[in-house]
Amino acid sequence: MRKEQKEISPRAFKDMVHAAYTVLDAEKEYINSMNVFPVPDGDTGTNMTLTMKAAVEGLSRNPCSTISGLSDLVADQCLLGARGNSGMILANFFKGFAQGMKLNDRLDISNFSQSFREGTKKAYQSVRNPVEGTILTVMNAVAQKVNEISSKESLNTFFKKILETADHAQRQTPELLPQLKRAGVMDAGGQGFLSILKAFLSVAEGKKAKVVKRDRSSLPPVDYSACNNRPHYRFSHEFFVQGDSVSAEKIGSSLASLGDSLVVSQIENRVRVHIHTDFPEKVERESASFGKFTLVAKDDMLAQQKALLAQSKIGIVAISPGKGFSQILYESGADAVVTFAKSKPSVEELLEACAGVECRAVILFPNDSDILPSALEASRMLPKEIKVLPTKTVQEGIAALLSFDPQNSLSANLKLMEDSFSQIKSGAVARAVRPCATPEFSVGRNDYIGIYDGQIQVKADDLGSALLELLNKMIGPEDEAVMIYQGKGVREDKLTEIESLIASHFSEREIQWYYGGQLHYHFIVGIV
Amino acid sequence: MSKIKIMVDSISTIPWETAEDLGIELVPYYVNFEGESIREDPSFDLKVFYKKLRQAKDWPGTSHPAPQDIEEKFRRLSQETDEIIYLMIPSQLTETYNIAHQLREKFKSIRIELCDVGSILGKLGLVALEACRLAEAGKTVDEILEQIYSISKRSRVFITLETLKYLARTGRISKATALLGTTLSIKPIITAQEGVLVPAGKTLTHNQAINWILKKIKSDLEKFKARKIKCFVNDVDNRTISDLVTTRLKENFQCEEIWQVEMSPLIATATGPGTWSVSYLIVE
Repeated sequence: MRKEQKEISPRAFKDMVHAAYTVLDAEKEYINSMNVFPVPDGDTGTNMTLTMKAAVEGLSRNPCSTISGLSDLVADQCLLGARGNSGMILANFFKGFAQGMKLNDRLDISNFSQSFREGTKKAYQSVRNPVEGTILTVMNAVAQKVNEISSKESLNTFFKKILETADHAQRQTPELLPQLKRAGVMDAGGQGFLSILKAFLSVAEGKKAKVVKRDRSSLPPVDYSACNNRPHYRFSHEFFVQGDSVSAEKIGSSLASLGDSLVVSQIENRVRVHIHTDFPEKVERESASFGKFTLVAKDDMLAQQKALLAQSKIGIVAISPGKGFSQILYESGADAVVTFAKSKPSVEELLEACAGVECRAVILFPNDSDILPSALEASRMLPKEIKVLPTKTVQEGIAALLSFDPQNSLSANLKLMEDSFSQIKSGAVARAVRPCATPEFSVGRNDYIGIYDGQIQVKADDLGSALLELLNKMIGPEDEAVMIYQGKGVREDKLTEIESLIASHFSEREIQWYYGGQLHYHFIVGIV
Repeated sequence: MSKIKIMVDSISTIPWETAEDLGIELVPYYVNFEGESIREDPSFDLKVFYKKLRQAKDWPGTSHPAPQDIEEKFRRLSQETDEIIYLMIPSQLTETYNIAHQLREKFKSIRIELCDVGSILGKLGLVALEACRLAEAGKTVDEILEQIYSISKRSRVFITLETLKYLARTGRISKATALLGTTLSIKPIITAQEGVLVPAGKTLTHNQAINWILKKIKSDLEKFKARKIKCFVNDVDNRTISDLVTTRLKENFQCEEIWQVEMSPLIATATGPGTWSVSYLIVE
């Protein structure tokens, strides 16, 4: 198209449709990845591409050369080939567009604007319950804007302004639709419509449609888990009903109570239906009473959603001070555990563990205040998203891990875990390696000490008394569970003796004893 | 037109006297204990059963309703009504569905709808009570069935166990799941989802488990933009916790109905002593 052109020729119109298909096809994976509404089934891009593909195929078979004939053809082909909710809406847009073009044999800015408004109107009408923050919002923003654009502008400028408006509206979609905001995405259908407008501009500019090939691996992280509610209805059902006196209106009303996302449109004696439902057989029976039923597609959205959720797994990497703890951490749901003995793990070891888990994002549990800096360092070095949950002790780590819910979003999980580890009381018993003093007492080398809340609070000559006194300090009337993890060096006979000492003092309580296998502390205590 | 009759498995924990008042037909299950097959019925003494259970050397087994029990009910109800809705335990868990399906063939003159809402305990009870109310209000079978599915979408059951070992023995939860936290003595929370028992959460204490469930209810209320719930609190010989849970529910939510009922012997046997559960329905 020449730069100062003011009218779209039939030839250019065909080019625009072709370009729309090409751009959608190239960007469909990107669009798919944003698809969280109405159901996160990851197929909006594919559906819109298939819908445009039907139009392109129709054009290649039909020698029609008038603008109004071409727009009719595109509309009908789109309706016949429409896939999914967004495909149906798009097809209805073209239907309305074609109706706007009915009496025109020229497509200039003023006609295009008027037809665009008709298309938008039709798109809204085709949906039983229009929702804002979707492709409809983007269409509507443009339909409002075209009024303000002077018909004296060049097509080039006209499409540039349209695209800017659409882009702005698309960025607003998360503000209008909470599902999008929670998942951290813009609307997929709106994005697809943007691809089409981008294609139109490229034709007006006389350039080849410029597309960025984006595949799933280079996509921004979408928090699918934030939209993991079961789809409201399980099946996405698309079909035709053909008959002499079929009416989209009548079929639409008879199906309205059987599901949602209902889009119905008519092409002569055929009615095209898209519905989300739990009762596909009922929908078929009901529809078949109006005419001949032909199935286009029936998708199990629950299964599609499950497959998508698997892609959005959150991995957990935990640091453990001993073999016993490592087993407990694995059993409690960690995907990888880094066990250390004498020296704390290096940043490199943490990185290796995080990289080894196949997932979208990692939550890293340092489980030790000394390891926290390395964990934070590691989190900055991997391209994968790593969140460090600042657990200071392994007891905290275990409590946090138990509250992890794979069905929740990353942010919701971090919140849950923080709540849960902050409730646990952590303590430990060890032998002093050097003399030191606390405000209350001084500690000699080889004295047994009890640490609680990061402070030395107990001193004793023997291991059993140190543990007993520590428990006395830690256990409150509200506490339910007392977990004691024994270290590597505690002898079996000594342990039996200490267990009975503790049992005799806390006969009312169930004390849980576990093997932790840690090196420096004889006992690690967790109370909640 | 005759009134629609509602039949429901006894694992719904609807008390026998309530069932009788409302005209709900409860279908009993069996517990096989010390060489005897005991039928759940109003005379079943749970206290004695729990006591025996704690002392038992061999853990009892359970079995689905006897075909003759179901047949007898179909036969008797067919004298009173042309339409029966039988709400039952998920078909993944027992043979009940198949048995009833075969028996239904013998009663071709009446309509018998077998309805598996994929759930157990109070959740099944809540659905059955709603179904009964709809029948009372003169709704048709089709209308009730449709409502039942939307009601069951608004309800949940969460069961807190002392341990997974009893349930693992029944083979009704996967081995891998049963191994979760075998070292650590945790209180697993499970739920029935699409008829299958799956782990929902892990907590260290009963208090944490209660808070966990309260959070779920809160988020469901937000999700459905609702304010009220109806609920069941079930326990296996754990009145203390059941009282505590009931109090916490009343403190935190507007409970339109709250049923505090002991667990059916079948579930008690399958899940072990100390188990308790909360089922709730988000009221529209």
